[in-house]
Amino acid sequence: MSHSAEIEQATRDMLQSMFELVRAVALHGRDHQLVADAADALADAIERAAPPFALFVFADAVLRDRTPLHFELEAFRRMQQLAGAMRRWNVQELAFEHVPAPEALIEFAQAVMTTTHVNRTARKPTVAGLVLGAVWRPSAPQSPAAEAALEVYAGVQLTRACAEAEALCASDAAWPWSRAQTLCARIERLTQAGASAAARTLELERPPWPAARQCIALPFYVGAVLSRMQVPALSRRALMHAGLAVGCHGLGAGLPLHEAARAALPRMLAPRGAAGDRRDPHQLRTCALLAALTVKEAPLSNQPAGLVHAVYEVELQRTRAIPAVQQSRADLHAWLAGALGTHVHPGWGRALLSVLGLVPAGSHVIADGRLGIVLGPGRDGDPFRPKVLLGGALATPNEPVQLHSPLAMTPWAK
Amino acid sequence: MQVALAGAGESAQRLRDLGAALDSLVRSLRQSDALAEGFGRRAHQLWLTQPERRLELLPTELRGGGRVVLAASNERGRFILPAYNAGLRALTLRETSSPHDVMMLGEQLAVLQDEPRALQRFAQWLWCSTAFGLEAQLVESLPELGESLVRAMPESELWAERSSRAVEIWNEMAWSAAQSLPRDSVEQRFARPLADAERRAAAGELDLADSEVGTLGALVDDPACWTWMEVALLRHDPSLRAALSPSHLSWVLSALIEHAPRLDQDLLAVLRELGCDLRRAEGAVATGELDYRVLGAALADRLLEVAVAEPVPEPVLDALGPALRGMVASAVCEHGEDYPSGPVLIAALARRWGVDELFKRVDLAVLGPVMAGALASCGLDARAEPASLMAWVARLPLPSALGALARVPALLAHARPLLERALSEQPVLAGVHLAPLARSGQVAAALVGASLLATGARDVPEDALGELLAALLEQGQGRSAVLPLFERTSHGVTARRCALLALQAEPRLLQAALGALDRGSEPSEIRQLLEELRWKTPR
Repeated sequence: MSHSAEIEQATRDMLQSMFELVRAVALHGRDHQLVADAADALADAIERAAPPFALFVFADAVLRDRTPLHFELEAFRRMQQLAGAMRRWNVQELAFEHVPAPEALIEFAQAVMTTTHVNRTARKPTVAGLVLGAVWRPSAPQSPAAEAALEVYAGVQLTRACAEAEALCASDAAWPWSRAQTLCARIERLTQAGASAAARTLELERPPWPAARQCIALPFYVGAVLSRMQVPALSRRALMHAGLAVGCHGLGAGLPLHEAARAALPRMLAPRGAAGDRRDPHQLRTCALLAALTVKEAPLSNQPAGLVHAVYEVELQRTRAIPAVQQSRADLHAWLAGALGTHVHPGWGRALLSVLGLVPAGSHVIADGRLGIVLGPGRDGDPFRPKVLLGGALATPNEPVQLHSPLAMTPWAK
Repeated sequence: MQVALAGAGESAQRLRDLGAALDSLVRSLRQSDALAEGFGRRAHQLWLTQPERRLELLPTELRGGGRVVLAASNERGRFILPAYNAGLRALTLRETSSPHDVMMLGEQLAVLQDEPRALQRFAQWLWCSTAFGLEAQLVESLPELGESLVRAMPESELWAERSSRAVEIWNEMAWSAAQSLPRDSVEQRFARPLADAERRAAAGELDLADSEVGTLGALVDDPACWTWMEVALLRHDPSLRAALSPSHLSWVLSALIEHAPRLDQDLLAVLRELGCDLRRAEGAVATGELDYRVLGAALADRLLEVAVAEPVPEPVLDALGPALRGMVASAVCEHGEDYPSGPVLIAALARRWGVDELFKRVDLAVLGPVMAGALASCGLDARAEPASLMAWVARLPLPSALGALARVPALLAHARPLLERALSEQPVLAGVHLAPLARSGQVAAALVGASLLATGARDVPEDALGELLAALLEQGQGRSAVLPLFERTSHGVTARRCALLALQAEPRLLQAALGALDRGSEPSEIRQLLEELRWKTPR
């Protein structure tokens, strides 16, 4: 058994011991000898699980230091009591800095038992050697704390995504479908968690952007538009993946879309050895779209191509329109509005303009006379009074905001 | 309709049956049991009849419509927790799905149950939509959850940092623009477009109406468009064909058949080019071969569509070999019920391929009344003996058999034994389905009336019997069938009551019935009804 497997097993054993201690407290009261024995057994089990470590406990999952613990069905059910108590305390993290004293463990077991069986509104206990804390996860209910956690989550996911995209861009080998699909799935989850948070985190990055970041922008914006339209997953994911592929093969060199597709397609069709040569429906659909994109006129006649083209053109504008100048989201928005029906498909262009609001998340605005950044839609749904970040505080402005592009409004131009 | 009318208890039972079928499917696949396919078909059938066709996953339960479909235990549903851990939260079966989709799901769940840590493989399988007929709702898997967790932090610090970063970025970009561009260019390239965009946005010129959202969404998911792109690539790169699973390639080809502009030689040429052996001989389909059942069904559907408006393309029929003919014939018999062109097409197939081919192929269990009648007519056209055809009709499910008789009067002369047997052995079903037969014509009505008298309409439900007797009266069978049904006191009270009630539609016959009675010897229910009717009926 590997070390990590031993540690996982020891942690599961520890949780079983904790369950037995809580049961002993429930059956015999905290002063019984059996309870003392169970507390000693739990202390030994914690010792074997090698603190310090933190458990993240939810009703549907338990992780140790972010690594999942895999349970058999019965063991999973036994976890529900601890998960239920922690939910009522509004905490999800249980950290062991060292092995707590048996009395502290009994105290904790008593608190778990009380919260789940006696007083459901009991407050979070303070127990020596144990630290209880709140943790956010995607799909957590909305709150000011959740909004901040979502911001951090989006930043972490984008950093990972950029690193993954960089690896994809750097290689000429056969397209690593599995890794690219993992990246698309990450972007998809990020969009599900909060499209506005993802957009503002993506946009709020110092120039110049590396190509990898722009590669992320492509599947993100394509996916955001299609999610809003509730397009079925097979088509939506193929478009996102095709966007990623053309981004990796064209944005760095500033190639037009059809040339980027021509550069990408051979790599995506390249054989990958016997085991990896099976093409699933997603791969066939992605390659088919890329093949269609190799035709220069495709965006005019092919609807899926029209969307990828619109997003790709926006990204080319971002870094390629003027040497050494990177455009902000507000500038790109203005360019896109002017390019409808000429440079980009009018329908897809407007879909892209409206997907994150007519004053899009991540753009600079003047709100109530101050420079702010758009976080997302406002409470009353007025597109010109979005939620903004003003001087370190979240606010919904009283007056309609105005886009304030750093390029258009630069005070230093001569 | 069956589902809509089913009671809550029946729905719950069907859901539990679905859960049991899924569990049996996974178990039999793990044990390489030959029954797996049967369980897969049953699970698919049960799933398809659910109103929402959506199953939700909880860590230890599979639920549908808020009810438990399958609860995990040591013996059952052990795949549920690993599937949940892989991020699966719901599975919706599409209307266009096939049993093969459920089989593939079962195979993946069986592997997952054996290797409950191979979560990523299962999640990727779902993500890639390898089973076309299933739509999966996915969230982060257990390992991905680990990297998604965020500890609570002081919010004010975070927003202050973001705010100052936003200002820094603004300054940096503004400075960079000022270094690269003169004021006039800034004005022309950025300030004016921005002002223009704001003006247009405020005027609503950049809005996207809901109808446009719907139109664009439909266009980007247009199956015909995707099919043509996929087929174009497969034709351009023949080696890619070998990389597709046979079932996948079969579905691409069936989509091509569905969406091709015409069902003609050009389409057949593309199908041949992509590896479809149109002249394939019969025989068991080997592993790794195209699924000719899927292709046959697609060709059948397309032929049915074409036949609605134009003659059946005979060169296409002639191009098909025994294997595809068999699959097409079978599918036309099954699907033809839903198309107005079903009888026309089956007649055309009988002319080109011979009627014996059709009778050999048809699955009696799924043959509906319209297609059963059409096939029987084909048999008569081919000079088959009505008596032998009637013997074939008698093997059909009762609704289809009675429906066929309503459409083929030539068989009625041999139908009485079937009708009497139906009334004796399946009175509830027969009661419902005899009325349309009686309405189909006087000969049929006379036959139904005679059979009804012979059996005394025992155990036929009251409402169905009322409907049936009304049909007999409409066809002029009041004196010969309905009145005698009442008059013969050996018949059951229910049947006689129904007959008397039905006779209200024929006042003269009702008078005859009322006049010829010995009230004293009648059972109380009949006496009571007679009183009511006498009071209501003017002399």
